[in-house]
Amino acid sequence: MKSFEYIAPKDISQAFNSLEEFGEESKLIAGGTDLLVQLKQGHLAPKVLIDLKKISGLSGIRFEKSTGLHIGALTTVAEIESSKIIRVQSPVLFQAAGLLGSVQVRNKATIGGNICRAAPSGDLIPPLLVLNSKVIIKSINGERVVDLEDFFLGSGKTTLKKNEILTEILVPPPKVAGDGVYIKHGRRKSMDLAVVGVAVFLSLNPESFLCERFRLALASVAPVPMRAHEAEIVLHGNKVTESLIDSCADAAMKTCNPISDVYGEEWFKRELVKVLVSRAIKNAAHLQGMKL
Amino acid sequence: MKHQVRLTVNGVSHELLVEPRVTLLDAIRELIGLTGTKKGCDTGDCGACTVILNGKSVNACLCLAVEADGGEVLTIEGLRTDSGPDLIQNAFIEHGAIQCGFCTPGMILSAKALLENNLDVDLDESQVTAAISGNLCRCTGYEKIIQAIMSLVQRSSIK
Repeated sequence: MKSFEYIAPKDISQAFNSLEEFGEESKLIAGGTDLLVQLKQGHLAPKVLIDLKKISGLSGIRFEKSTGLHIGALTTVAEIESSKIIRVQSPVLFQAAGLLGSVQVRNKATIGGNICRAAPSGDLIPPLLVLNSKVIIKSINGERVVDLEDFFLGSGKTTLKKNEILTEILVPPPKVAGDGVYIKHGRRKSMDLAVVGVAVFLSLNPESFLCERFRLALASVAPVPMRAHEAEIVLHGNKVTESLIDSCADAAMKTCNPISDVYGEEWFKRELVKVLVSRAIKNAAHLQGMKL
Repeated sequence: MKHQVRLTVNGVSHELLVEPRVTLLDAIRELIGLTGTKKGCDTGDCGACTVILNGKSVNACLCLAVEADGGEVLTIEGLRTDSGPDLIQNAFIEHGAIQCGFCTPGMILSAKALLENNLDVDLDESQVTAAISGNLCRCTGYEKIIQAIMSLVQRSSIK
């Protein structure tokens, strides 16, 4: 690891000042479970690390009826995994939190770090995408709110500017009640990146089983975690049947854009998308009281 | 520039002068001299460097010493009691859960974190397996390790 300076601001305005002073030569550190690996492997060599962990008010989970779930960017994955609020309000996020890394990694890794790392495989991202989450970004000049879907520009690239800090994740309350499911396929059961990750949010009319809301997000099959809008419209407004689920899964495998790498060939990942999307929809439909 | 870092390791307070790039793992091993905490992959995959920092298990290789400033660290050396090895260490010995021994300190600390954070929970084998999923045993002695931890789960549920 190349040497660097370390600053741990006590409040966010100090952090903005440090960002202003060191700009491109600096890097923010939250949990550091990914950043330290990149520093050790020489992928990154900032002159200054700005540690956000000493700033109070950047972590914690709260729920408000009107605005939904507020998750501080520095909230650890373990805190999400053990939060009753998350389990009740966003079971799909709870599910994904338990699948990220190891216990040791989850104790340190943060939700804000997982998002800002913008890895195609980031486990918390697909659930947050199907929950229509937004991120709150602050700078010396004020605050902006961005739909999470628009936050990613490419693998490792986001719309975050050098003078900005992502401070909070906002999960708005769903307009209609529904169920979310996240399925991760890894090469092994734990401690691995997703070969393919699939998150769905499904809301069915309790009597007619017409699909009132359906959102689908995929991990590891595009430069960034993606919403699969073209597959979503297949279910929207229609009665959910086996064959409709098949068409939806088919649309999902066509709309994604995986690459062949050590995790699998492109065709294999597409097949996985098809199988897992279908499985995730069926699981969610089941939670909604529908037998398929 | 070197930073002054205060760490309480196994109840003993240490004042260290470290460069920011020094990991908690290297500080424990090289500066404090406690080599029970092992360096395996150094990238957070193997869990050999697992320590308990402020009550939570972490990979000491993925933590800078400066980040841990003011923290309380428990390493494998801190488990020993006046009368010898502690309950978990004894269970590992009794069940033959130690082969080459390299993963053992990390395994035992992951087990300790699991047991202490779930005092009132009836843990099953799948939870034990999940809890040590971040600790690799290259001797693949997992069965005995799981048996050792399960023996403590059962013992604590009798209490």
